[in-house]
Amino acid sequence: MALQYTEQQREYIHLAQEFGDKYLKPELISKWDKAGECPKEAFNPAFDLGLHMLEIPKEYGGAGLSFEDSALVFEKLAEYDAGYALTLITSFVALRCVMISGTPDQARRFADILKPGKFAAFTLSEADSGSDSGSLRDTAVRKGNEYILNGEKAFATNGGVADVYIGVFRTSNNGNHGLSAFMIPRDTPGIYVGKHEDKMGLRLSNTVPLFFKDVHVPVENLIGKEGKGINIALNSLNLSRAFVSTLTVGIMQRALDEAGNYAVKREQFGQPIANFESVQNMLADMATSVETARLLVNNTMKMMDKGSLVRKEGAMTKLFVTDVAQKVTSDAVQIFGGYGYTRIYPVEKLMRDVKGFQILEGTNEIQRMTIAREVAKEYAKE
Amino acid sequence: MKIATIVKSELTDPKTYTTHRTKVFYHPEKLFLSDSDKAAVELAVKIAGNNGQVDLFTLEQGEVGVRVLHEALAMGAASATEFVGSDPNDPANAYLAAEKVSEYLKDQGYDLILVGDVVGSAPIAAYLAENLGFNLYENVTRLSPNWEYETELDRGQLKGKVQTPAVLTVEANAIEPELPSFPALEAAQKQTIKSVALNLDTEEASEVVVNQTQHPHVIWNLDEEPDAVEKLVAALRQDGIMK
Amino acid sequence: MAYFIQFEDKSLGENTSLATLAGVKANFSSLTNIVLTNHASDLHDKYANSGVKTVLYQDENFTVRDLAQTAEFLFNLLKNSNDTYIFEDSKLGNLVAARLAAKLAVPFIPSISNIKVGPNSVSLSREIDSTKVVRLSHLKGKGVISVAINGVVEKAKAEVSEKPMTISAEEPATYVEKRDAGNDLLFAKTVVAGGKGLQDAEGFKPLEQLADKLDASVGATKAVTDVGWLPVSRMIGISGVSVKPDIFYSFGIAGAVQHTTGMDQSKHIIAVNTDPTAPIFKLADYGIVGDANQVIDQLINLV
Ligand SMILES: Cc1cc2nc3c(=O)[nH]c(=O)nc-3n(C[C@H](O)[C@H](O)[C@H](O)COP(=O)(O)OP(=O)(O)OC[C@H]3O[C@@H](n4cnc5c(N)ncnc54)[C@H](O)[C@@H]3O)c2cc1C
Ligand SMILES: Cc1cc2nc3c(=O)[nH]c(=O)nc-3n(C[C@H](O)[C@H](O)[C@H](O)COP(=O)(O)OP(=O)(O)OC[C@H]3O[C@@H](n4cnc5c(N)ncnc54)[C@H](O)[C@@H]3O)c2cc1C
Repeated sequence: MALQYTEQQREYIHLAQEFGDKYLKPELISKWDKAGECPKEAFNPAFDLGLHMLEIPKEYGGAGLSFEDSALVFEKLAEYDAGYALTLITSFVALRCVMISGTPDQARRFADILKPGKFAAFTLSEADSGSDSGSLRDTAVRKGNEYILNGEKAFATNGGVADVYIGVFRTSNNGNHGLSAFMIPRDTPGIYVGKHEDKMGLRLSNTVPLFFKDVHVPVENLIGKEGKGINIALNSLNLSRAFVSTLTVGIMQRALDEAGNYAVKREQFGQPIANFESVQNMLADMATSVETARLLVNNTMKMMDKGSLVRKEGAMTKLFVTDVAQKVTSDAVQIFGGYGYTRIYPVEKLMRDVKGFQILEGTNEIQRMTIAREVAKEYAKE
Repeated sequence: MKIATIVKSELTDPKTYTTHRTKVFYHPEKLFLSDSDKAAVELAVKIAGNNGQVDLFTLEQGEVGVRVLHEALAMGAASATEFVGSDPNDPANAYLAAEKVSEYLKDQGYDLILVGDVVGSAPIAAYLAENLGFNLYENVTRLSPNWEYETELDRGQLKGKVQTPAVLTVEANAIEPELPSFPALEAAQKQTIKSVALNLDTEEASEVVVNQTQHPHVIWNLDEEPDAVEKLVAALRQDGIMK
Repeated sequence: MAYFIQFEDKSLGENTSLATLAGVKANFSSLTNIVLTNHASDLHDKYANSGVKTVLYQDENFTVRDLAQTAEFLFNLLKNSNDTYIFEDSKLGNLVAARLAAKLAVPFIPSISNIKVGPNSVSLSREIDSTKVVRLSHLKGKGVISVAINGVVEKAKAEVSEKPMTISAEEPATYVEKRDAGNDLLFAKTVVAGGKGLQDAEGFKPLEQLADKLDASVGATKAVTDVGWLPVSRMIGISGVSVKPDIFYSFGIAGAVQHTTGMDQSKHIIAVNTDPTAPIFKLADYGIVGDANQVIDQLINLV
């Protein structure tokens, strides 16, 4: 591995590995993958270790790790299952988002909900509003000291398991500038959780539609200013894109490990298939992709630790890493031949899981638009 | 109750040592706290409870020493000390190291010294017990709250009652340790580690060399050699594979 | 001069094997075998043919359960000599060896798999787990070692004498024998596995008999468990369990990767197959090209 880990990082990664070895055994992962659902109790050990608030400062009850160190821990967890890891990440990214955009009181209230071992979700997308989030239609109408929320959200990661949501709703007809973000406790009357999506991959991660019917939320729960919802969503995306890239590196590393181990053992034409140049080329490209992807993520995390917004770098990281990962996981299946296409080996699952990362947190097409916009700004004439 | 626990790493990854021709390369970054030491620390912390104290010691050197102490501190021990200047895997001078360690521990009022039973490490428990005048219980696979212990033998167990002060070597299955939390590990990394020089005369050190004994690869044909099975059994006995 | 020290305690199932004594003898020209026992009269014949001069120390109160007293007796017996004291690398051997070394304040070098006796020192190698390296120690003076070496037991006359020892009848610990010593597949030290080449379910009866004799656990390939000759819990490989025993016997198994993934970490592999090109032979330390059923029958008779 090219990254020269610090001694502290080595210890964190090892603890993540011990956690995975103990609680995320292959039989369990495969069972939950088939069932398309991970039981809530399976996260209790993760709460005990503080994984759900890994990056959150100690004063909020978190473990206080840097972005860089947290990323290495979650990369390791993603080697076991990226959906499981995503469930945890989604929670602390939501909290981080409140810490950045909300008041200290809101951040503390949000943290206090998560601390004992609860999840959070961030819900923006709607059935007719995905990439084009500025077109979302669910409404929040102010009445006295409350907002009343109505509408249907789609694809909410953790929606079915979370105790608190951040939801983005329309407060005026001012396009992108008419959106506002709210902190919404799950037990507020009028919230209904829809059916868990039967997904291609990331099947341990809960994804549901959410229905809001006259949901009353006090004004103290408006995060930031009215009309600033889209900025809050974008800030949150900056963080989550980087972490999604981390999970992707974990998946790639697993794919490489599986393929490498198999290639030296499987014999055809009287020799290990690792002796064949075409297989060697695949392995060489895979290994190179894992290294470059890891370095890119690491650099973005370091920038985040320094307080950079990483709008462009985060988008670049997610675009590059999740794109190369498609080939890496697909080649892993290729190296396994027919066996790779069955569920006996884990490589087909890696391919299914990693596909999701080209789509969620903004499709890679949208990432390119973001990058292009940022690049254009850099070259624009004064 | 005052408990000392002496911890060390365990070789679980065969790539800790790699070889090229007759050269040996050592990769200490692959070494972490051993499973039996985890059990020892967990037991120590449980026995100590709220009124007792667990102090950690290690004979591991450099980064490995610091690493295993961090891991063990995160499990709830109070302090950590590294003994500098010996090789915990070298049996040739373990008795010298144990002598110095005993001297250091002698007047500190420990009731119990727990040591993980790590395969391949240099044995020190018996020397400590002898030097300190403590009772010795080895290969402990169970220790009940009323001090009944079980010692694992190859085909059975010895059962008895521990009399303190005592040195115990603990097997990995003696207790299931809980994983430390990340905040605990983070705090452990910030804790100061005391360093004590052993000043050993390490003249008798062992060396790590490439294993020259090759696996045999002998195939007999039963049609051509009707006594192939006898030859097989003889070879297995010769190699010590079959007893 | 060297002493091999062993125990014959009729209340314990933990005695040293003659093969270890033979292995030690092959390395040390001048060797005395010391046996602490509570039933010396039964043992004269056994050691009279061992080829090693043997002294039986007898006391009917003797028991290895009293590790401290056992070590104390050996210490008093040996403290004035200047030799190498050798124990078997078993749990019990190491327990007593460590105590003796501590009392003598000399090095204890355990788990030795190779010995070279030089003019001024004894060179001892100990395998470092499953790596390709060994730790080489040189014992110059007095020291205690434990060995995992075996030799072929040759019948040769040897002098056997009996001496009394005095042991007080204390019982610091009780001994309980394990029920199913080493019979579970995952933890077994020896595995005998059968494949489709054993022809039918009947072919597994002799295999089980052999397992009994070798104190081994029975494993199988998927081809075998698929047709129900053995339960699925016995399947070794990617779809079943992974095993890592000291000795793996493979009978009538082709050696498909899906199977070998679950057994190729075994320390020693012995394969029997009618097909000399079967991939399993690539992994084998020893192999026999021939009918597995026949080989199993012969093995049952030989061991
Ligand atoms: C597993 C999973 C978890 C999710 N979790 C969450 C969550 O927690 N919270 C949340 O709010 N949302 C979540 N989403 C929703 C996700 O953010 C959206 O699916 C994503 O933004 C794409 O929107 P869409 O599905 O409506 O696709 P569309 O926007 O309909 O896009 C369809 C295709 O058109 C392309 N496209 C669209 N517009 C353009 C353009 N201008 N130029 C070029 N190409 C374009 C897209 O790239 C894509 O290829 C999740 C989705 C998934 C699959
Ligand atoms: C997705 C998948 C997963 C799998 N997972 C596993 C798994 O976990 N474990 C597993 O074991 N298999 C597994 N398999 C099956 C594996 O590929 C092999 O088919 C199987 O291991 C073959 O078992 P075998 O060697 O007993 O049978 P065969 O392949 O039929 O070989 C029998 C061997 O016996 C020899 N023979 C015949 N007669 C005699 C005789 N009289 N004496 C001695 N030798 C004789 C033959 O020469 C031959 O080499 C899997 C297969 C797939 C497709």
